[in-house]
Amino acid sequence: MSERGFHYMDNNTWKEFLLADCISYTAAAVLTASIGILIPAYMFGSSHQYYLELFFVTTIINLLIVLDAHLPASLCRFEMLFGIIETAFGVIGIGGGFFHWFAWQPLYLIEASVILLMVYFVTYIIMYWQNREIARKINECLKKAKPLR
Amino acid sequence: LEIKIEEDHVLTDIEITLRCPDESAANVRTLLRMLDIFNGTVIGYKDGKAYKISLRDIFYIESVDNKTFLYLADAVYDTDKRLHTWEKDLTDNNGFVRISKAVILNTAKLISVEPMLGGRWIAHLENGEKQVINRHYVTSFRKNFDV
Repeated sequence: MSERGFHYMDNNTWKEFLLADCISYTAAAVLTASIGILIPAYMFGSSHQYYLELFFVTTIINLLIVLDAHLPASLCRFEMLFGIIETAFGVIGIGGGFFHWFAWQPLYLIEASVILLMVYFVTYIIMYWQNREIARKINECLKKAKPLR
Repeated sequence: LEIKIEEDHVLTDIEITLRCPDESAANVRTLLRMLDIFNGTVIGYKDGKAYKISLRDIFYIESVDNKTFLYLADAVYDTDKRLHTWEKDLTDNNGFVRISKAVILNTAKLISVEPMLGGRWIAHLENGEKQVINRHYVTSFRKNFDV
């Protein structure tokens, strides 16, 4: 990849995007279904349509988050904040505003925000664990290669 | 790893024959990579003078404000090549890997890596410096180690 020919979605980015999308969709589906069973009067429906809409929303959110990798280095420290804003845009904007999962009332907005934060951090932590395991393998390779240096 | 050294006064330079059970094994490729770096030199500039620099001494190559610099343990040299040219020349099987838009890292100078929350990684180098591996380049960095 060159400085000029900057690819926004190369193979590596696609893999990262698909993994994050699978994790976040599963977490969101399990969480909303569980809350729906525990609190039947909860706002989120559990129709087939809802789960398709949820997949659409998680896909849009993950696409935005993956593209954050192209943010300038000076904005690195705000990456988590951007991720939360993008997740809020997906759940509250697309889910609440476009798909009408819930009415835009304070109580529902707070409930949706709690769910979106939980899904965001579950995805974040699972991706981090996966990276730690990969880093461990790389560090082992580096230790083995040391006598050759 | 068994190392045999044979002296032959007929030879004018070092000749290396590598005998191994599997040419594509990871440790054989690592060894070849090290030999490539050992063999390679580049030109760097400092105070208007040109210096011959061994690739194995370079820790990383960084582009800052459209200028490219070679970072060694205790010295920094200018270079007239752009970062994408260095990438074309170096990152093909000799231990150098692009880790961000501005940096190419020599993995032979790497001590360990550490993931950060957010997908970026930190590379700890032999000279105590740290470099950020951008999330976008992590997977290609991993491929360098067959992980």
